[in-house]
Amino acid sequence: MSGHFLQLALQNLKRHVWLTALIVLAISLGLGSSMTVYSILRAMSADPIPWKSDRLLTLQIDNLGPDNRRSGEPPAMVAYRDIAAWRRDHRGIRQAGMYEIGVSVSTVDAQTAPVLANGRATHTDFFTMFDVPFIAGRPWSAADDEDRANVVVLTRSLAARLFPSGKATGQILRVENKDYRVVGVTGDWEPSPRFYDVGRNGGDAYGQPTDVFMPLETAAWSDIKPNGSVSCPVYRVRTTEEFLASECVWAHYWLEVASVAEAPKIRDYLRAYGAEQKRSGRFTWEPLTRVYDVPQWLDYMKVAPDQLRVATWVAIGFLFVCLVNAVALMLARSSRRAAEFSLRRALGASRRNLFLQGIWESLLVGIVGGAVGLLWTWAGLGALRGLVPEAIVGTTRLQPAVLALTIALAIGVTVLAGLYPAWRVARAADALRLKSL
Amino acid sequence: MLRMNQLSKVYRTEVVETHALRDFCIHVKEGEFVAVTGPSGSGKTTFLTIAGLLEEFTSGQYLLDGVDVSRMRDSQRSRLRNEKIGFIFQAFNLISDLDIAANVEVPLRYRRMSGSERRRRVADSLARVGLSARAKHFPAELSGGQQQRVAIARALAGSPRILLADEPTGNLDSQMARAVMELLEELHREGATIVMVTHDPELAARAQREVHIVDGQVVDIEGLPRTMQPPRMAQDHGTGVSP
Repeated sequence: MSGHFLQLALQNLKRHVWLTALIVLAISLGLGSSMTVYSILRAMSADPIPWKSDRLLTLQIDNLGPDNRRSGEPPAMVAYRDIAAWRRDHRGIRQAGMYEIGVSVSTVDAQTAPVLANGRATHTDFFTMFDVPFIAGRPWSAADDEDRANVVVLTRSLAARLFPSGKATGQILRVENKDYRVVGVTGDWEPSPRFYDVGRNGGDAYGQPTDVFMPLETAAWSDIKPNGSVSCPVYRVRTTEEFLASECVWAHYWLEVASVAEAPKIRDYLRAYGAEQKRSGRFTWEPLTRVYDVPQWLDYMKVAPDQLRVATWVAIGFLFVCLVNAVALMLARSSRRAAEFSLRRALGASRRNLFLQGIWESLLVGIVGGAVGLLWTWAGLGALRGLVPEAIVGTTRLQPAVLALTIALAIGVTVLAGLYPAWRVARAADALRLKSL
Repeated sequence: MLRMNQLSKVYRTEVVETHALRDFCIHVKEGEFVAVTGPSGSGKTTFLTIAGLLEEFTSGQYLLDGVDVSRMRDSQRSRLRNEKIGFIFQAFNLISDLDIAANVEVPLRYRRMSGSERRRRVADSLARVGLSARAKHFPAELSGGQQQRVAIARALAGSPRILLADEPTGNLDSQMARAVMELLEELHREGATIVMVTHDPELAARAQREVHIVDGQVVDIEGLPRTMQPPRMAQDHGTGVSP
């Protein structure tokens, strides 16, 4: 019977081609708009490291005091002195401080022009904690961290740019007029959003990709300043030593715990740490402490802004309006075919047969509507390229999951929209008289 | 073959109650050709609709081929309609964008029947009405008489136990009407059971017997309800109405 219904559905779509085209247009427009907005929302609120995002924790402490809280919360970044203390306490299985740097990089033979690279000063655990792949070499060692060794890790693209004809590992690079040895080259790796470096309202989450990594202490003691914001309670810092010992906040701190069950222990630890700092006289206030895992952190930092969520609801509302129109058009199409349905009933079709015929037609319209809706989504994302940052648009390419969701949603909502017209047809055919056929 | 006992059909709205059929009794035997006549609004079409299992009745009993249809579910009634009843309509009611063969095939599509079996039946039915050569034509390419013959072929394709014809010649000129009527008579001679609703006394006279309906009841020629007539009188008039 399914083949028969499919055949009937195809015949009827061809018979009422303009009305069908209007229904497809209504459904596809609603889908296209909602899926465009959803694609952006999905890209911006996606879990960038789902296999361990609930075991990766970032820590905050209220070291700037109540007057410098933002919406009653401690600063998003932390001071180096806390990073150093937390690393010493070693409460996670891996931990790393980190800050963004911008450095001039060139080869020692000066055969290539210096490159202004976006970099990250961090600790060696960064690579294993965030599962950064290596295509050559390895991360620097913990001893390199302690020794403030002049070593760097390059990304594949920067390595290819600086050493186009040979391997990069073991080579010497000049970074901000000092020589560094390349110990490793990372493969393609750029979590999106870049959760470990997000600013308030998602700032930097889709910024320039990282090109070069170096040990945090090496960078700090080489006077390579943070590329991002630095917030200090008072500006009386003159030397690097004073800067690192100050309350200035300019870095992030992440740690990995062995299991989710460990997270409460980290919270307890941080509360105790804050209390201890107050007892020692560092704070005159009761310091707030916060521990977030990756999804909580992205949510707290509003990487996907509220306006986008509102836009998603508006798009869903538009889809609903389109569906209501589609239902009206389906009803109009059904009423034009009432005589045929009555005839089919007289010739032996049950109400169920007529209902199923209506549903099959909806199914077919849904498949076509979904395909056209995908084209609208693709066009919508293309149109957004000029309106939102390239890094965000880059993450919103039509992904297989969105593609599958669009088709599934198209079929689902169209069949849902077709239920009432199909039910009405199945019932109305009874009420018609043979004479009126 | 078709038996209705004390059957009533009442249409109710908030303010009006219309008795389309009341204490309606009829018995059509296998192989009979019965003409159902009566003025407009007498209940002929309601009778045909109920006989065709397209509408439920309010009270009474209806046996089709010995099966009591009163408490059947829609799917059972539909299957019974599909397998035992062939409809012939005044306006032919062919589906305009299906070719002739596909139109004849429509009732067979609602049975779990193989494609080859459907094609065989369609070919046989079209051959029976003399339209084999037009199988791939569309309804608009045929005359009214030919369209009605296609409708008859469609009704025959499912090998029904009874044909219900509603003014089958009503939309045809006299020549075409004659041809269609001859076809129905031929089918009857071959053993088909036919119930034909008509206004035309000439057509009614060509049936084996005539049943006259007035105000939703079967009546004799003088207009008294058949249920009020002694059984002998009913037989004398040859209406075949059950006492």
